[in-house]
Amino acid sequence: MGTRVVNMVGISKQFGGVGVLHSVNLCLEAGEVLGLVGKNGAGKSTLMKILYGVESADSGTIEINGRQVGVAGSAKAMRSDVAMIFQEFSLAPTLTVAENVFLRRLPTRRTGLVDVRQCQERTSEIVRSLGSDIDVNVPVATLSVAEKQLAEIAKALSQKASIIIMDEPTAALTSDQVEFLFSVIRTLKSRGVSVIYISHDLKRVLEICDRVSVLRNGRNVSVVDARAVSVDDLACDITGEEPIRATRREIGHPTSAAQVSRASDSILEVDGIIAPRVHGVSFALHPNEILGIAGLSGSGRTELLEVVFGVSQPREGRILVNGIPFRGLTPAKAIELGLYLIPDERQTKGLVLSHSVQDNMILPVLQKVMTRFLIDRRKCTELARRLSQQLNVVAASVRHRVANLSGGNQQKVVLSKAFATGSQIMLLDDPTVGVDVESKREIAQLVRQHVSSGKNAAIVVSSELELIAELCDRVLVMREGAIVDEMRAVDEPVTEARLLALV
Amino acid sequence: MSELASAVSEKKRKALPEGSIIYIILAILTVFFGAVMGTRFLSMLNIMNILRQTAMISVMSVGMTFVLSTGEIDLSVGSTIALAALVSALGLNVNTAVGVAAGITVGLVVGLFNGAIVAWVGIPSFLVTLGSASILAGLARWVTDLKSVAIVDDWFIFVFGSGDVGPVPVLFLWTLAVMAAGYVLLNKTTFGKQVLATGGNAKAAYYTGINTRTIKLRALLLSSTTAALAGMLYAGRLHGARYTMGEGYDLSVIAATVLGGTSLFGGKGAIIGSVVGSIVIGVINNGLILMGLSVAQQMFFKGVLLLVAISINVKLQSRQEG
Ligand SMILES: Nc1ncnc2c1ncn2[C@@H]1O[C@H](COP(=O)(O)OP(=O)(O)OP(=O)(O)O)[C@@H](O)[C@H]1O
Ligand SMILES: [Mg+2]
Repeated sequence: MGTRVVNMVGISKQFGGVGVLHSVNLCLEAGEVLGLVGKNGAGKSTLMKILYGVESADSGTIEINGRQVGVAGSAKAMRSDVAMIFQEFSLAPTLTVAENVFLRRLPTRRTGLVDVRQCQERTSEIVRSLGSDIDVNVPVATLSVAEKQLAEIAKALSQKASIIIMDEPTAALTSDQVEFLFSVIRTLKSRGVSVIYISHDLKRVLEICDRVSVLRNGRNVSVVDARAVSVDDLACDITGEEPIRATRREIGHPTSAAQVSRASDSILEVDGIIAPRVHGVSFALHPNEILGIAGLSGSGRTELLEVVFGVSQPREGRILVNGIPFRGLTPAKAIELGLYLIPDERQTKGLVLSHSVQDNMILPVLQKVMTRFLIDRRKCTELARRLSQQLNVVAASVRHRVANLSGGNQQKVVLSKAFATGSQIMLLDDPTVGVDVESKREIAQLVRQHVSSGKNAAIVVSSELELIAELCDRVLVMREGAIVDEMRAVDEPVTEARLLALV
Repeated sequence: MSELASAVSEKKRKALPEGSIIYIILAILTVFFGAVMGTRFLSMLNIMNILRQTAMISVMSVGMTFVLSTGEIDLSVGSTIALAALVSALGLNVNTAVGVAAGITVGLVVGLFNGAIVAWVGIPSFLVTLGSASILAGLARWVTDLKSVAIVDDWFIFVFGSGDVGPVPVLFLWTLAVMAAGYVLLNKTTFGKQVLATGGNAKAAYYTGINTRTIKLRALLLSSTTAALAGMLYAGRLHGARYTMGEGYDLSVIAATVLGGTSLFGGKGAIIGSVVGSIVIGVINNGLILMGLSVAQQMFFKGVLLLVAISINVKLQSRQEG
């Protein structure tokens, strides 16, 4: 240690006249894992894009491996020794892992044609050295999130990058997958590769990082030694306030035994559903209940929710809403029946990126923003402002394009669409991906609040077992397309540890 | 230094509000043709003439705005003009009402045909409308055996194309009415918002409960119907119909719409821009004719001018969004 591989000094950046980085410094040493933390919109991704060279800075200097590199306007150029794994992946889905890994410099034969053999061999070599055995000849689209992650890392290594930036790599990973990623990071570290690691999971950050740099509103707050601080210290630096601990009391009690309704008045019943990746699932949802589904990604949890919401049709089985069976559901029909799905993959399924925050938010509730037959702009703005406030969306204004929001704030816009509808049955598929700690607590509270009124209920799927344990009255454990276990909070408190043992 | 630079470019962006480029292009062309040909181009008579000639493209560009906004395209509008004009002219031999109804029916049927194949079979509109364009062109030649049909119905001729209300040509009123209706429909109704969402991200729109297939069908229906109306206006203006009507209009209409600020990739539509874009096309057409160029030269320079204008527009637009 001791050699500085990156030294960023006085980096400032404005977007449309609004400053998002104010004279920020950051240094990285060889073979170190540096954590970068801060609230949604603090400027983490922007700072890293500037280091990577895809975004320009207004002022400041950057030294990489002792060499000064340009930061201004025209200097947008990717740097060969830096690799970045983006918050939203940048793999070509129809190409194979091997082709993706070597996309920027495919090895060729003397004839000028791509040397497929060499491409495959070198990729599997890299992948194996990271302790994985995925098939490098399958299209990336067929991989799980964790495997895509690995493909991105392999791509970084194939470019002989000595500095790898990981922007929220664990956001959609389950514990096992996180463990695997950490073992990969340790391997990288032992080879002298430096890693910058962005995440909202502070416990994990302290586990894998050597030092942690904290940003708040685009300014340096502190750089701390990971061994010397606690999660609470870090949280305090991030928000600038004493941490408020999320207790069960604040979020609200799980429904007590007396309130748990009998099966006869279930508002949603799923009966023997068979669909791709779902092999015969049955369960019922009762009023005022938050039902958790714990399972690894790829366990069929997303597919199950999408069948219930009518995105895809089950091969067999029935879905009953308020006791009435429905065939050939579509999302439009499901919404009419009082369901609403918060999908995973916010960018592809959740948002119209080129449209404003406001236009995204009003989309599911167009009827509510009309005066007689026409859409009323004032009502639109009012609704969007109210939702932004409720979910704490950080954006210059509600007219801002969603594409320009930070990852966590984009996720909050997706969530706000669901809360705007006030649908009776909310289906939440990994709702807190990329959301900071504070907002996570607020989202949990909103879900709890929603469910406590009327005959509402929610189903929560999450890779974050902590969230499920904290929030749910009843948890179904899903593995390989089937429900393998059920836990009730009234019998025995659901804890992260209990869940971990089962998924 | 660089802070200054970015501040300046910031100012530039603000100085050019969204959708203003098309007006600048229009101004440049007007000044150019005016400088070359003086009052021959800039006379009141010629300007009215341009606006009259442009009405058909304007009306169609409103329909096309909806189609492009959903991320689809309609390449059959040119042939729809011819068929609607001919069928309407034939219907007028029976009586006025039949003539009008027949023309509009052509638009509705074509739209439903295109829309149904796009929505329910799932073939991209590019291919579907390319195919139906050929079918329609064939039909237009078939129904009259390549003969033209004269129109003598005075009411029709007055209302569709040739009349004036006071000093105002009816073609003007049609353009204004269609533009106003399109503007409200796209910007102020649920349908409009759903059109834009479908074009912006069809998958996300579907997950939000929008029936994206019906939306696409309805957009294609609008486009064919405005094309049929344009065909009738054309027939009324020329007192007759012929299978060659509408040739080359597909390019003009799509170019006008894109020039006006509508995205070819969906998610963004500008009705008023489309009409101004149509006027730009009209100015180019008219200017080139007045300059005394041959038909071949006109085609050549029209293509060149269109590509230059669209390139400038797209470049500046992406900078604004930058
Ligand atoms: N292209 C852009 N145009 C305008 N504003 C932008 C753009 N990119 C980012 N911003 C703004 O810059 C701020 C910082 O964004 P950034 O993505 O760096 O946050 P972040 O710390 O990565 O947050 P998250 O944890 O949510 O990912 C945000 O307020 C965002 O709205
Ligand atoms: Mg980010």
